[in-house]
Amino acid sequence: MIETPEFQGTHLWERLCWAKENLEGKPTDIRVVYEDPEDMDNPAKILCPDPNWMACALQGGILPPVEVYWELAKDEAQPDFKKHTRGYLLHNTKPIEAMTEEEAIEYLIQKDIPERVWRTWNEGNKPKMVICRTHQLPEHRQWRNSWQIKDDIELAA
Amino acid sequence: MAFGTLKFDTLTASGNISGKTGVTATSVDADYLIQQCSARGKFPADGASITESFNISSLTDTDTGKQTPNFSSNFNTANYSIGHSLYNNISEPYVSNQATSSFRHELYGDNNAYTDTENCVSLHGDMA
Repeated sequence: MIETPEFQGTHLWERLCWAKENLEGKPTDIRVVYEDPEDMDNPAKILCPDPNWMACALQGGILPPVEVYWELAKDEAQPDFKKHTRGYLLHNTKPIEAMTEEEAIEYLIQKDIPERVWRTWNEGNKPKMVICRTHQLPEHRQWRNSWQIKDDIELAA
Repeated sequence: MAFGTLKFDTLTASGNISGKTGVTATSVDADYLIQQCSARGKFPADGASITESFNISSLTDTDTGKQTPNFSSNFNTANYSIGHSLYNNISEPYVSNQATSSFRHELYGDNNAYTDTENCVSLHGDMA
C-alpha cells in the first residue's frame, strides 16, 4: 500500500490531486436512503459514495475531520455570508487516519446529509434514514418520484 | 508551423505561479495540471453510481432527473461556474441550488417533465 505523504498544511484540493494520481477508486455497494423532514413533498433521496473519495477515506491521512465541514457550513448559513474565510480549517487541521468502509459511510452521512436528518434519524413514526446495499433498492425507476422509506421497515441491529 | 511534443514532469518559473488554491509556488508538477478544473463528474442517468469524478465526495439521487453532487473540497463562494454536457438531444439542465459544498441540477426533457439523463459536469472557481 502506498504511503500517504504528510499532508497537514497542504491544500485539500492538492491532496485530492495526489489521491487521483496514486490511488485506485474504491466503489462500494452501500447506499444511504433518507427523507428530509424539511422537504417532505419530495421522495426519498439516495446517497451514493464516490469511489475516489472512498479511496481517500480508506487510505487515511488525506481528509480533514468531518467537524471542519460543519464549521464551514455554519459560516455559509450566516445571512451575510459572501465567501469562506476559514477555508484553512480544511487544510491545516490534522487529517484523519484510515477508516473502515463502515466508518467512512458514517463520516459521509455527517458530511453530505443534512444534520436535521442524521441527528434524529430514529425519532418519529419511522426512521428518516436507512443504510442499505444497492440490491435492496427498487429495481427500476418507473415510480421514482414516489419512493419512500417503508413505514414498517425492519432494521438490523 | 509544427510544434513537437513537450514532455515535462515539473514546470519551473522564474517568478511565482498562482494556482486555484491560492497557493503560490515557483514550480508546478505535471500531475497538478491534469486536474485544473475545480471539480468534475460523469454521472449515469439514474444517479445510482459515479462513472468518473474529481473532488466529488458523493452523489445524491434526489428525484427523477434531479441529482446533487457533493464536493470533497469546498468552493470559496457559491458563484463558481458550472458546465454541463448531456447524453441525449432532448434534455436541458437547470441549476436549482448552488452552495459551496454541493449543487443540485435538474434535467428537464421536452416532454415537460424531469428526465433521467446521463450527464457530465465541469466546475471552475476558487477553492476555500
